[in-house]
Amino acid sequence: MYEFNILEGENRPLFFFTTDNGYTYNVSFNPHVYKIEGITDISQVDVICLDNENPKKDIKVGKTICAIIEHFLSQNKERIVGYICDTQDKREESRNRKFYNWYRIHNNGGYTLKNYEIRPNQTNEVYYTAVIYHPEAYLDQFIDDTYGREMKELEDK
Amino acid sequence: MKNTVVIKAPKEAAKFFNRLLKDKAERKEEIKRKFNKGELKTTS
Repeated sequence: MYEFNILEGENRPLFFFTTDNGYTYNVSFNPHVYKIEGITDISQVDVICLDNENPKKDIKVGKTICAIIEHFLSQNKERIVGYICDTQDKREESRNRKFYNWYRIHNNGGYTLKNYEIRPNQTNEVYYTAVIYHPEAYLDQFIDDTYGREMKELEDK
Repeated sequence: MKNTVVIKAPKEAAKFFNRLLKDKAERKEEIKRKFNKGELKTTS
């Protein structure tokens, strides 16, 4: 795992680390766009390689990103982190697998990751998302029900 | 993959997620710009 640093002077937590290949990565946590009933602290995680769009494969990158996410989650047991796979280059499915495998291999066993495939009606789109949370703070069924309800309520917004 | 739930959502979900992804892309560009200009100070 790489040592990571915290970036100051921003209104959200920003972490960064540099790899053996000289690439700098940024991991940031951004508040969700609107409040969700029953959940007080939810952020969306973004991961960026700042130097290269297609950096070389490096097993320590996934391990470091997992450690950063778990560090962020450990500050508040009720905190939830969400991840949405970018779609602009049509590689969202492979990103989803990559994120899932990073987490499956490197997680510390303290949190639950669930994947949600969102399939909007009347479109061919699929949005790959993931949610990570502490299993003592939320039941799986609560997360499933809440996510499902939030999606259904979009119809009225 | 284990632990995957498929949610059939209303068509408005596409608009919602496209907005989230647009915001995400803008945040990434902002961080890249600030980083390249040396505006982000780091501590261990």
